[in-house]
Amino acid sequence: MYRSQRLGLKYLTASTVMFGAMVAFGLLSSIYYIWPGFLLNVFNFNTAKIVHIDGLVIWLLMGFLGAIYWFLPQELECEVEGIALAEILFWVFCAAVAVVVAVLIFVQYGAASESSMWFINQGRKYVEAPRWAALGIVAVMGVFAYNVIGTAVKARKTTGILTVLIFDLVPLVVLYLDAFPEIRNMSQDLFWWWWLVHLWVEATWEVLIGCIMAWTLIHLVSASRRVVESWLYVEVAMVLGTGILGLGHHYFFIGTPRYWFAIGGFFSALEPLPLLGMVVHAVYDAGSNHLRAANRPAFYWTLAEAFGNFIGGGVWGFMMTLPQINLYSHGTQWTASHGHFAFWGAYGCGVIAVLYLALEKSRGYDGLDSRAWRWSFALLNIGMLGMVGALLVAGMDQAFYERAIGGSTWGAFLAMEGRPWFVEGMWTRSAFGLLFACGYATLVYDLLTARRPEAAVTESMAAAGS
Amino acid sequence: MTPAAMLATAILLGAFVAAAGAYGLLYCAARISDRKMLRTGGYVSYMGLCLITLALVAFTPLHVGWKVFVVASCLIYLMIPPVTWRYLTRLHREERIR
Amino acid sequence: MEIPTSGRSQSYTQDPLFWRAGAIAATIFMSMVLIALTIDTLRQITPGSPRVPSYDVINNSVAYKFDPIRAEYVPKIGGEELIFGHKYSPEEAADLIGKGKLVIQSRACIDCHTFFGNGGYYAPDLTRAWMDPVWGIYAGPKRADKLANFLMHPLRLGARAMPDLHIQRDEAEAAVAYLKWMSSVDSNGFPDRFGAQSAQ
Repeated sequence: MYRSQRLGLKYLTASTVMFGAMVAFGLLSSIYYIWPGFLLNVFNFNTAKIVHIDGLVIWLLMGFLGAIYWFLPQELECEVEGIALAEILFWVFCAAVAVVVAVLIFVQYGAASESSMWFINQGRKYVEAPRWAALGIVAVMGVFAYNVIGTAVKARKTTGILTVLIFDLVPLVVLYLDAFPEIRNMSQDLFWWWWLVHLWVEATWEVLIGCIMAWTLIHLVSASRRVVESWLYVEVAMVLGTGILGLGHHYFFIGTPRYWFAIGGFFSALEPLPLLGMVVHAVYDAGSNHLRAANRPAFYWTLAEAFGNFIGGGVWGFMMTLPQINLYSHGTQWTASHGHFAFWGAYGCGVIAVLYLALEKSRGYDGLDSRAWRWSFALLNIGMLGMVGALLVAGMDQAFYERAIGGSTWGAFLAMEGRPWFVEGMWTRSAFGLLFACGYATLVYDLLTARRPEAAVTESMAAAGS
Repeated sequence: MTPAAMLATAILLGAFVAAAGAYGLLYCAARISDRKMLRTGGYVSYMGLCLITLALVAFTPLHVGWKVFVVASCLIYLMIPPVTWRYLTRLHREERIR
Repeated sequence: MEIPTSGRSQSYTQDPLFWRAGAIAATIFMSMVLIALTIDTLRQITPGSPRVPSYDVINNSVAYKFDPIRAEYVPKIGGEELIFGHKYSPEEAADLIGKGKLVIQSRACIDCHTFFGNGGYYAPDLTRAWMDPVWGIYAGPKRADKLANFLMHPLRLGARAMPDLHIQRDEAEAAVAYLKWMSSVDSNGFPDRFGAQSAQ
C-alpha cells in the first residue's frame, strides 16, 4: 500500500468520526425544537447547529481528501509527492478541528471584536470556524493541491480524470477565501458567501465527486477508463453549464437586482436535467453488472448517490427554485428539507461508497458483503427520507402560514410554533433522526467488523448449522 | 399568487421532476430487462409528466415564460433517457471493439 | 494523457474530446457571464445606490409598504427619525453599522435567525425586524431603545426563547442600527406582506 493510501485511510477514518459528531449534534439541535427552554443560556441552539453544519462540511471534505489520497497513487502508479508534509498536516487538521469544537462548546461566543473573529466564532454560516482555523484549512488544501499537482509533475503524466480534478482544485481552494472577510454590507456579504457555498456544493464539489465516482467505478466494477472519462466530461459540461449561473437562485431576495430572478431561476431550473442523465448512467451500470458487484455495499451506495442526488437536489430543489415559490419557501424548514436531502444524495452516499471500497481493497479482500451493511443502508436512507419528509411538511406549513399569510412577522413566527403540523413535523424529524443515528452506529459496526466474504459465508453457515 | 396556489404549484413542480425521473428509471429498466410491464410503466410515467405539464400551464399562476420553459423541459426530458442510453451503449460497444 | 484515435468515422458526440471541449467552453462562457453580472450587481448593491441606502439612513424613518406599480412590498425612506438621540454623520453611521455587523457575527445571530432569508430557521427572519408590529407601535427613538433593551435582556416569549448573549449597551445600539439600516434595503419584496396582517 502506498503511504498516500495509508493517509487516505486515516482521512476516511477521521471523516467517519466527524460524520458521527455531525449526527450527534444534529440530534441535539433537533431537541431544541421539541423541548421548550432546552439548555437555554447553557448551550444555545446556534452553537449546536454550528457544530452540526460545520461538521457536515468537515466530514465531507475529509472524505474527499481521503478518497483522493487513496486513488491518486494508483492512478499515477507512484507515491504522492510531498506525502510527509501531508501526513503532518492531517494531524494538524484533526487537532484544529478538535480545538475549534472545544472552543465552540466551552466558550461559544465572544464580544464584538476582531479577537472573537480570530479565535472564537466568525458567525457566518458554514464558515463559523475562527480565522486561525480557516488559515489552517487553507494550508491543508494548499498542501493537498501541491500533492496532487506535484505528483502529476513528478510522474510526468496525467489522466483525463486527474486533469479535471486538477482544474477543479483551483476554484475549490480560491473560493474558500470567502471564509475570512467580515463585510459590513449584508447584501455584499451574502453575495460573496454564496459564491463560496453554491460554487462549492453545486459546482466544484459536484465535479470533485464526479472524479471520485469515476475512480470508484473503475475499481469497483472494472469500468472502462475511456467510458468513465467521457461521461465525466459530459457531466462537467452539464453541471457547470447549469450550475455556474444557477448561483443566481440565491440572489432573488438579498438586495441584488431583479435580473437574477430570470437568470437564477432559469439556470437553476435546468440543473435537474444533468441529474437525470446521471440516473440513466447509474441504471445502465447497474444493468450491465446485473445488479451485482463483489463489493455489494460500495455498489449500492454508488447507486444511492445517483438517485439521492436526483431526488434530493433535483426534485426537492425544483419544487422551491422558482422565485414566485421561493418568496415563501425562503428561509423555512422547507429549505432545511432540501438541504439535508441534497447533501446526503450528492455527497454523503458517495463518501460512504468510497469508505467501503477502500476498506475492501486495503484489506486485500475480494469483495465485501454482510448483513450489517444492509441494515445500515436501510436505516440511514429511511432515516433520511423520514427527516426530509417531516421537514417538508413542517416547511410547507411554515411557508403557508408564517410567510404567505402571516407576513413573516415575529407574531406570525410565534403563532407558527404551535401549529400542529409544524410541531408534529419536528417530533417526526427527531424520531427519524434517531433512526438515522442508529444507521450510523450500524455503519460503524459494519466497518469495524467487516471480514472476507468467504469468512462471512462460512460463519453464517456455521451459525445456521448449530 | 395565493398561498394555496403557491403550495399547489410547488407540489406540481416537484411532481414534474419526479415523473421525469420515474420515466427515466423505467425506460432504462425496460431496456435492460425488456419486460412489458416496465415499458408500460415508462409510458405511463411520461404521460403523467405530460399531465403535470398541462396542469402547470393551465392551472397555475406562473408567468408565461416559466410555462414555456416547463413545456420545453417536458420535451427535453422525453429525449434524455433514450439519447443518454444510446450514447452509453455506443461508448461501451466501441470500447469492447477496441 | 490518453488520446483516443478514431480510425473510423464516428459521430462527434461519441468523441470524448468533443465533450471535453464542451465542458471547457461551457465553464469559460458561464464564468465570464457570471463575472460581468457580478461587476454590475456589486455596483448596484453599494450603499448609496437605489437598492441599498447609505448607512446614514438610520437618521430617517424606514417603512415597508405595498407598491402597486411594482406589485410588491418596498421599503420607503421618510423624513428625519433619529435613534438614540443622535444624528449620525455618514462616517459615524458607517462605523456604527460596522460594529453592528461585528455584534451579529460574534454572537452568530445568523445561526438562529435569517437575514434576507439566509441563516438558521430556528428564530424569526430579521430583514424587517425594525418594522415588526411588536416594535412598530413605538416611534423611532423609543423603538430603538426598546429593541436595544430587548437585546440586552431578552424576554422569554414562545417555545423557542431568545438567549441572553451578554450584549452590552454599545453593542445593542450598534445591532439595532444595523437592523434599521438592513430594513431599508430593497430585497425584491421579501418578506411578502410583512406587517400587512397586523395593519388589517
